[in-house]
Amino acid sequence: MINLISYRNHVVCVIVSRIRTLLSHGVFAVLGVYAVVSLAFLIVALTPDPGEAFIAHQLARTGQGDKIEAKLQAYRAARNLDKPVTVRYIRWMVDITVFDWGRSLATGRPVLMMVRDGLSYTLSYVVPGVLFGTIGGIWAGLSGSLDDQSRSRRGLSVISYVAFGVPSFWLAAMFLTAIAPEISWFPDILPTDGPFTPQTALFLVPPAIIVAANVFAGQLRYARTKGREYFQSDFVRQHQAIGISRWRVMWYVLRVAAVPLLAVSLADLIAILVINIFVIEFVFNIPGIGLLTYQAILDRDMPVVLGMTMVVALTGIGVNFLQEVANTVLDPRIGDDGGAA
Amino acid sequence: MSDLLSGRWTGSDSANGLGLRPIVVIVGLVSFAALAWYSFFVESLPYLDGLRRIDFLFIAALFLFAVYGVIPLLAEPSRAKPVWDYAKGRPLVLFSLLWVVGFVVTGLVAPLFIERSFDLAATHQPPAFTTIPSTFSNDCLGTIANGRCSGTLVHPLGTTSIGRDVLTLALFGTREALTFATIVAALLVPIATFVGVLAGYTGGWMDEVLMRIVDIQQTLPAFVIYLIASFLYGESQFLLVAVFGLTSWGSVARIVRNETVHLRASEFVSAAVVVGAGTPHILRNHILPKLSGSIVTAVTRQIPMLLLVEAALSYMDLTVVTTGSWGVTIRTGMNYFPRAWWVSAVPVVALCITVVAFSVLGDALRHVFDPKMSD
Repeated sequence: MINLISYRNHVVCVIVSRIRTLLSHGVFAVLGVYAVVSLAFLIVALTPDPGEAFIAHQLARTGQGDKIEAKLQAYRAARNLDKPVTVRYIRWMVDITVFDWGRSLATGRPVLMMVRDGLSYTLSYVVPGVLFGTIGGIWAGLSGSLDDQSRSRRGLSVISYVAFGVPSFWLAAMFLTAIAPEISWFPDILPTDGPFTPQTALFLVPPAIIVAANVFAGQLRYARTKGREYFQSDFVRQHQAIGISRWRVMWYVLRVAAVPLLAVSLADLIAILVINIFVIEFVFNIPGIGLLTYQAILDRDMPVVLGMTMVVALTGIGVNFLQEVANTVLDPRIGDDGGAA
Repeated sequence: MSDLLSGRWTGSDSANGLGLRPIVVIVGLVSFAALAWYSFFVESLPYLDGLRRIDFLFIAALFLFAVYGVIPLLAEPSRAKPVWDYAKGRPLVLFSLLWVVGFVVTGLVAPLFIERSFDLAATHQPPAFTTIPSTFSNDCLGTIANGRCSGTLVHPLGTTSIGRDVLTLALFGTREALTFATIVAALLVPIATFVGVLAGYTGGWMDEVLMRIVDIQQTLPAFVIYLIASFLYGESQFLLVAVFGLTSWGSVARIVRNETVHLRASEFVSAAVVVGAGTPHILRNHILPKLSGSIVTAVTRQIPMLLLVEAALSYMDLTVVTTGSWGVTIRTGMNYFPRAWWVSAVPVVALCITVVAFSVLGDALRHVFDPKMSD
């Protein structure tokens, strides 16, 4: 009876300390978001506004040099640039928080709408790619490290190294110049007007495959190392010795290795994905967030550049937070000692 | 006893090579900076004349690399023996090791002996032992048979659309890649070591805050920061290395931190604390020397990603065009693909093998330096 009560107390303690851990991670995530937003403000506030130079140049070219000062005043008033920095900073923070991210200087569209449209294209090939790549990579890595035949193991590791080493922009360009023209039913360009059609989905298959190949290579390497570590441990050998099937052993290892696999691969996953999104959309001409950012940089369209960058950063922080939550759920030890992860 | 506890007793091994090296580095870098300044603003000196800004950084980074990497290794070659022993029985690792050494030597030496030039009378020559339709190239240097132009050994890997030798381009690309990787590593290692040791040795809230900062920093890859920085300040190679060196130290710092936590809890550090060694002494003699293996491993594992990102940026025309890095050559070559396939194929293969070699070597180093991983 006493045992039961103390056990119950223990469970309550664990739950409370886990909630505390999650809260602390949540606070850090929110702080991180506002750090990025503040950084974005600093970039805008500390650098000369390209819009002002543009106005001055236009007026000077048309021989209206005397009107420059008045026009600039009006321009600044319209954008609240005549207010003190502190007021502008507070406004900026409030605007970002209530999802008023300004308008594109080039097209006049709200940045948030552009972000939404861009994300709908980007996510529709990145999500399948990441899913297939992660599952495939972890499966291949674990089963590869379970195999004792060194030839298949070595073959697998060579494949993963090469898959990581081939630059994805070259794969994409190769596909478009050498393979796509040979396939009669493959659409020449991405149909961007109107809703998603089977043609759109078909066009996004090669980008998804390239993303999947890159993620696959990265995950395979981690899973192989982790798998090798765990497959030598006593519990796996015992399970194998009493004849438990290969799949079940893999499942047990996956269950234990999930936390380190999640933890170690996330930062690299973000780096791999960001670079892939940019080059794939550049080569395939997909109007996702990568291409929109690229065009905004060429157009010197500051609000769009900032908005897109903040989306990347916020996604990263959000995924990071989700990872911490997953860790807390998956690893019973986290939170036991009051929050030390 | 009071002497022991007060921390005045610092041990007899404090005057080893590590103590002298910072002085060498400071004297060397300061005198180099003075020479560079003199050559730039007063009177141009031989050798320093005509160097780009990035070359000065490259020389400084090589100097650091020599003082902290090459000289200790030459003084104590036995430190490299476990790596060599590991590589000997494994063809892939051995090949990677040799390729990486070859990459470094080629990048250092090759640009000193070859000239960059173009020859409009020899455009689009195919590589040796291959042929293309003779209508494609305006002046075939080799023999023409059955309407096909064959390559010559004058340009063993062919030429580009304006008659640049592809082999020369690839060798200069090696120099560019080496420059980029060396400078970024020279910026990244000190920052990562400082942050990692500070977090790992201090522990507590300092550790927590620094690692959270690393978390947040890693959500914004250097690639994105470079995009914004180039938007604000214009593209330059200087900006490229600065951004990558100053913003991609997160993962290395985390590894250094974990290793420091391990070392701090070890018995020899406790023993040093008990006999009254001060924190600087412990860091200098017991922590930092033992971190070198994991730092080398972490940096080697970081380089593949750096090279790929640099190539991608060049491919997207977001770096300076004149550099002749592999990415730039790939981009110009793809304009004539598939007819002049060799122009893009050569740098792609060079880039791919280099990335694979660094990845394999990084994994091998981890096996050697981290006994937990070895099988």
